[in-house]
Amino acid sequence: MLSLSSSLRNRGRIMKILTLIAVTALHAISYPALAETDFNTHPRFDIDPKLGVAGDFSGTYKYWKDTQAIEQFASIQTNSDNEWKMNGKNMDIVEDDFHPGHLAVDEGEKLVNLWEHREAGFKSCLGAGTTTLEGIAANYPMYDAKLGKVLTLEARIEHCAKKVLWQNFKQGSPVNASIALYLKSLSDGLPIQIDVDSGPMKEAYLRGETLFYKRIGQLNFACASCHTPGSIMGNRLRGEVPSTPFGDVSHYPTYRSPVGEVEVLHKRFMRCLKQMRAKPLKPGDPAYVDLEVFYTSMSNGYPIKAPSIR
Amino acid sequence: MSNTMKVRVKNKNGVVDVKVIINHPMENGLRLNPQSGNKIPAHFINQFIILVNGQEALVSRCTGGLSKNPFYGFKLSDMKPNDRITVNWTDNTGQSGSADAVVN
Amino acid sequence: MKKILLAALMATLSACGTVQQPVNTNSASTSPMKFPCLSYSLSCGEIPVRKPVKKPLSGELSGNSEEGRNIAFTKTRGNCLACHRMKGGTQPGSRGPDLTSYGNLGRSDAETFALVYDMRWRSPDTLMPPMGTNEILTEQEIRDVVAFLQSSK
Repeated sequence: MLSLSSSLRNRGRIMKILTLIAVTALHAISYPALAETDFNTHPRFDIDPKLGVAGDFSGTYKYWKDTQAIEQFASIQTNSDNEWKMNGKNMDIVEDDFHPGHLAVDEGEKLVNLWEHREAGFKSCLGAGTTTLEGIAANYPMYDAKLGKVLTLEARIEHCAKKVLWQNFKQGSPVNASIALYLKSLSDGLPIQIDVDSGPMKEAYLRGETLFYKRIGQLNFACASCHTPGSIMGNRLRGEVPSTPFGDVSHYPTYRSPVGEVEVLHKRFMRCLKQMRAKPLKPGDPAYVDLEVFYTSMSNGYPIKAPSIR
Repeated sequence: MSNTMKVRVKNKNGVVDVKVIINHPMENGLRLNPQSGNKIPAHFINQFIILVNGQEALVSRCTGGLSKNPFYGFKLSDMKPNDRITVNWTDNTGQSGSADAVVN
Repeated sequence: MKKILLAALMATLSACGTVQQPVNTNSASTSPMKFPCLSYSLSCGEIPVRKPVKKPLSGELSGNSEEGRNIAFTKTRGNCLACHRMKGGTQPGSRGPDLTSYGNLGRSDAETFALVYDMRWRSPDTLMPPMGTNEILTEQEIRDVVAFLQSSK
């Protein structure tokens, strides 16, 4: 009895192996393309970090590269299918604009001065050694050698609040967002200048680029699926048209009318991931920091607009 | 953002362009709380009163159609430098706010 | 004794050697942690993208085209309108091919079913989400969508 079962089992195993070989061979013959495709990523595009915002791959940079261009090409926005080509920059050149972002800037200024009054040293921590806060926001994200990591502006605020004030200004919270917007407003009009040529910043840039192409979530989208040439960018996605990622960081944190609050970049990442049915991470997550370095490089050289409204 | 407001005034040959932005939730009372399913109680600005040098110049009564953190803009003519413009608002719960600006 | 051993043998044979079939569950209960994510620390950061599946259509289509229309137009379900023009749909997307007269193309139910289930066995670089492989829609919901497509003339 035992010998019969074991011989049956052996024959079963042989049949199993032969079936597996046959199935694999059939797959390889019928779908050769499958063997070369990496299903985990979206096809890559060559982005040269040295070009900064001018390396825009959507072909729309010429429309929004400066105030002159935006005014000259303003007529392309009358058509809702072409509106995306202005990349929302038409909202940034409105003279005399007035929106809740301005209130948040005042709030941020009040907060910084209030806490500096309580604990002198807050401002100089924010400025990484100087109390002159004008212009510092244009160099974020930056690598801090003392702390040994890449810091975003919101991370610097969180760190200084903890270190100097013994307070928890969590990234993404209204307090942190208001102060970040205030600091950004002190650099309004200055071009973004971050260095991703070497060292930890370059490594963060490369990691961020990898994440940009990584397919995630239930819908199997990568950031690239909506924000690279040939993808959904420039085409309608239900009622919206995704635009180029180049130049976007220059107006963050921004006041979001649909949401009714000042939104920092990581919160925007979080919202997009939720909409794409992928796992949203919290503001301050290392993956978001790397993505922010990558995205900021795509706005390198473009002037900051703060406060902005979207 | 705490309850704050800001007034900006621009004088162009006697016609003054006034812009007001206010922090306010502006709940119209029809939205449902996603957790409880109940209506979020109405809480919106229902009156603006604009004073020029203490005198009532403009009264606006509004209902729940304005969105969160509302923007309110208007123009006043025959204004002179150093005229004081006061913007007062009250909402349906009785709360109010006020801000001043001087014409340049 | 022989029966038990034979039963165990059959169970082993049937369990191994087959292509992995995803479980058909209600799309609403599929947790984002079951799919790849961006995190460096969470377990979902290591999950690979599911391989393409060419799902055969067994038996009759038995799809309800009215229900398929609902699935295609509802944002939280199929949301096909996000990328495709479809018969009777408003504010459609424009990236995917026009499907308003799909029924006139004369494609078979089996081919349509397999493509909606997972487009990647034909186009590896496609943007279209794998509706079946990633449990966005159940098998019956895909049948309903196919019925709606075939009736779009």
